[in-house]
Amino acid sequence: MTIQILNSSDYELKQIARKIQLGNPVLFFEQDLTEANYIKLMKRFGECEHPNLFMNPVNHPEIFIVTGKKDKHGKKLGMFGETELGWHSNGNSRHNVDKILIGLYCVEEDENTALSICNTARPFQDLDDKLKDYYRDITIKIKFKNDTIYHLEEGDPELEFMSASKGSIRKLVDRHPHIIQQPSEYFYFPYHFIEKAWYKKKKIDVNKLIKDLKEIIFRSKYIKHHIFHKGDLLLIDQFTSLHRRTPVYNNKRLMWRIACDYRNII
Amino acid sequence: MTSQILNYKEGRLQNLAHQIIRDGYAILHDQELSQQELVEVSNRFGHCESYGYFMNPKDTPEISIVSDQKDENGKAIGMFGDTELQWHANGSARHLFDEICVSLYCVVECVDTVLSICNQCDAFAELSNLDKERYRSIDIQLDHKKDAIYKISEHDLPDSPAPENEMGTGADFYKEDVDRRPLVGKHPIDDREYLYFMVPFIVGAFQNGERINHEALYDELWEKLFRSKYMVHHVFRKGDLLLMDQLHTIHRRSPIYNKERMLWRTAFDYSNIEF
Repeated sequence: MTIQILNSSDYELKQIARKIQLGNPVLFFEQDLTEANYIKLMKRFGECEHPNLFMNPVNHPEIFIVTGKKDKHGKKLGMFGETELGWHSNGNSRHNVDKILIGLYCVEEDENTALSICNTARPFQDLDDKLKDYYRDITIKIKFKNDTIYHLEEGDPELEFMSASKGSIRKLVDRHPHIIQQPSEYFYFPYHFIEKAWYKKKKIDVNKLIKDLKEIIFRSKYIKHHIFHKGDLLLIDQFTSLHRRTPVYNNKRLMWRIACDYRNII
Repeated sequence: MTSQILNYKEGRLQNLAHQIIRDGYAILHDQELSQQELVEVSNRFGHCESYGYFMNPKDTPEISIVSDQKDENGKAIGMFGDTELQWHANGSARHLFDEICVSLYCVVECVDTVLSICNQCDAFAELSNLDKERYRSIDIQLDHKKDAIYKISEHDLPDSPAPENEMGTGADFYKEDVDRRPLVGKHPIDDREYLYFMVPFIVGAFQNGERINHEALYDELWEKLFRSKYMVHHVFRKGDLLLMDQLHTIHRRSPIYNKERMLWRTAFDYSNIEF
């Protein structure tokens, strides 16, 4: 019998959280989750987002439906459509990102669609001290832009939701709030949304910064890939990793996504 | 600097071979290999397949180009096109073959194409004793079937035959004197048992010598083998070198977006490795 995460003790969940926080995706196979017990599970980690938008089921607003499916009137049932999704993490352009644990549970699979997860802590830790110091002194301005990670039509409620954040100004290199006794610095690099960059107080060429960092971060050795099968549950940290998705072939593909923090487990 | 397989001493290559057989695969990143060097590395493991087909470069016929790229006359320079590839392994349609390790080296990447590897050895190990015993008593019959892995017929036209037609297939070509093989094999190196579920090429099945419904067996095996927990997935980046054992694993590919994607593939045995 495959291990069911629902049966994990608090101690076991804490160990899982520690692993995720280091930028390592954690996968559970053949899980038997309902909306209700999935939410209950994620609440054992922390507080969940529940914005009550079109992709949040009324009875389970903590769940975000991720699918390209539409209802009989042609209305979207979920977010993220069916095209390629560029590298991103939850809440990239928000001023205060605190829901930094994402759960993705597969309800309907597509064996030709892969999710790639890039660890953004290890590339930083592998740099020499001089480059580490350089990147520590960089500040970035981030704001959601349409037609970057994907395309949203005018009038799409998802565009309204994504564009609502004013953006943020933050350090390119930050420390993970929950990692202790291990290197905790990571690159915060949702490059599609980086508008401006400064080295100390001086504005620098943002395109060159992005080009240089892409070569440092998006290397095969830092990236893991997964094709979801029904019952797979993936847990990923939104500070120490970025993720992208290949285009969806089977439009019935359906994931339940929950974003939470770690306040109940740490 | 990532360590280069070209510089591996004998012991390290031996460890790598152990890893491939133990895990079913190994991935090395940031490798810098020419065609000659990939052949050199492959020959250090063992004897390489070499045919001289349309996808084999003349100077390095051990390499098969895997790509949808065409030459200036519109002719395919590589095998496997740009579509999804069904689960398969090297020698899928054969009952006997020696080249049980495949290397795939990425020359041009496509970030939207993923290769999945399923471990047939792990899957067998987790079966019930009852299933294990039953499967051990089954032989399967394999044969080449056109369009089994991908749709060759779509580009096989009367005035422009598919180049894949020149590739030798079947028992006569491979000089096989058997017409079936056990569904459950024992790996010649580590002796572990594996399910040999060569999805598209199973044309018959026999239990204790009596023919059984191979289509029902197919459906049953599919459910038991293709489970997420037995799989790993990889998106090739330039310089990645994937090595896969072809008895312990089976693989498939999603469709290709970047038609320039190119892999170099070799298939070899482990005859030069001391286990």
